[in-house]
Amino acid sequence: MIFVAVGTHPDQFDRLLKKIDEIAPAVKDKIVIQRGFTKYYPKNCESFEFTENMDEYYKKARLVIVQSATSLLEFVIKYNKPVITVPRQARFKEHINDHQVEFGEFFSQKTGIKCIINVNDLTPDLLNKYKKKAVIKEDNLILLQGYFRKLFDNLNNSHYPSGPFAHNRIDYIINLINPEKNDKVLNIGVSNIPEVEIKIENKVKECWTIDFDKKKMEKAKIHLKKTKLIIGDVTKTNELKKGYFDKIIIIEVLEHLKDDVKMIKKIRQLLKPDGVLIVGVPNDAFLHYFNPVKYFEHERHYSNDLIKDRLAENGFSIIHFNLVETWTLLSNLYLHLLIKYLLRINFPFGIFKRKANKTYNQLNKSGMDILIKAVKN
Amino acid sequence: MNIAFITSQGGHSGQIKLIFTNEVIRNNNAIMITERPGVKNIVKKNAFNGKYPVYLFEKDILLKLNPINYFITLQRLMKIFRKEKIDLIITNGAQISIPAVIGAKLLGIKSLFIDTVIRVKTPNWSARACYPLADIFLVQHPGMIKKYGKKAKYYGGII
Repeated sequence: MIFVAVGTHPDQFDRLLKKIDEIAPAVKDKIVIQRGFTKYYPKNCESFEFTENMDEYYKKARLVIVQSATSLLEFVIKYNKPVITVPRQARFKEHINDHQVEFGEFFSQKTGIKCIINVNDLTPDLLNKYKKKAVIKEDNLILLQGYFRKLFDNLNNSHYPSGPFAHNRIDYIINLINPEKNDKVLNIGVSNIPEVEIKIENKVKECWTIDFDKKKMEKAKIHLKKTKLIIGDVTKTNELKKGYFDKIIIIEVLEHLKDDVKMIKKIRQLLKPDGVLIVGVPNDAFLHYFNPVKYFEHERHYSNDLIKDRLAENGFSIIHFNLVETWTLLSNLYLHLLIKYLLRINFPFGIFKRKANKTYNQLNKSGMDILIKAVKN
Repeated sequence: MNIAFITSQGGHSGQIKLIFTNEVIRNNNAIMITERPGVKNIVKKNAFNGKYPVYLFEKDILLKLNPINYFITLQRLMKIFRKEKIDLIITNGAQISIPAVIGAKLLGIKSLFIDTVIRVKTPNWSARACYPLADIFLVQHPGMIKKYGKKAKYYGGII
């Protein structure tokens, strides 16, 4: 059996069908035609419009004649059988442009099958004797599929497993730390009200805090009972032992330092093997350009990739990565600065708190602050 | 991860079926968005690779170069993206890829465009339109890289 298929393209392809119909009586085999949208009705051979299972006809056929489109490739990849291709051409109004001619010639050059541009080359003699099979190497397809497998894996890994969420920042950080009885925790950089230390100092074995600002330390001292306070620079002090701490917290500190790589390397030395590091840094978001702190106090802001790279280069692997806070951070900051310079009081602001706290309950794609949990390799 | 394949009927969706077998998709969830074929009895099983759901659009909406039709298609695509929580879209051309890539850009979804295999020498109209918007742009013949620009990359093809 010889099977002729013209596909599902809406334009007519009667040039081929007329010719096949003309030579059909002289051909030994039976001819079956899939007409598609072509209106010409062949008289000398069997034909139908569409079918669900082309594969049945492909299996039965001795020789297949198809247009030079994807159906040619599908046939060649599935079946090792003789095939002739006839491209649709724009000048006969069979397609919108001549790309099929281009592809047909390219394919016949590569595999050696016959590409018929002038229909008069189709003769009964050719159909009776034709036995040329197209053999293509599937190396390129395997390459492409391998690329996609790798891409999907990479994208799946970039969605870090959803971590412990909470209803506000402090709980979120404490959930990330996950304090246990035997833990030795170090917090680098103290705030005026040390909320993290207050909550964890009774849950862990040892809690340390280090900062070089004496005034801030004295303010923090009022709230703390068990915590050991050290005044000094982390990278220079001798009071911290290497490989001593289980968990280290460094939130809103890295962006103030001139040499942050040195700090990360030092932290790696202080941690035990498999120790946990919690990092918080401001993002390089567009809204931060309206943030005065960025220009006066911060050395740099991190993009998502930069902070990931910094940690990965210095021997940490990231477990949890989230972007938190929205524009509410800026509105609170402006009010805070206004009150601070007008009335000289430190007063933490939390209007739009609900809006901000929403971001701590989910993984976000954008935000003003980055929070990371990483493990020492 | 949720992946959406968006192509028009015929050769374009055929190429997607050739590349993305079940072994390639593996654990990810996938959906296929394509146009309703002109004849009803061709496609009865509405499943891509025998297991993933297929959304069908009307052919008239896609084929006319009418900005209103583009806008309607864009809206419907974005609705589906949101409903299925899509993380990555993969498209292989013809007109539907243009609203698809725009919609992905608006919703912050990653988009990937694979050029068709059939074009060996001349660049494709819809590929050229998608080139500036798509995050990843692949071609299937090494010679086609020059025709598009620096962003185009070759990692293999169907042949």
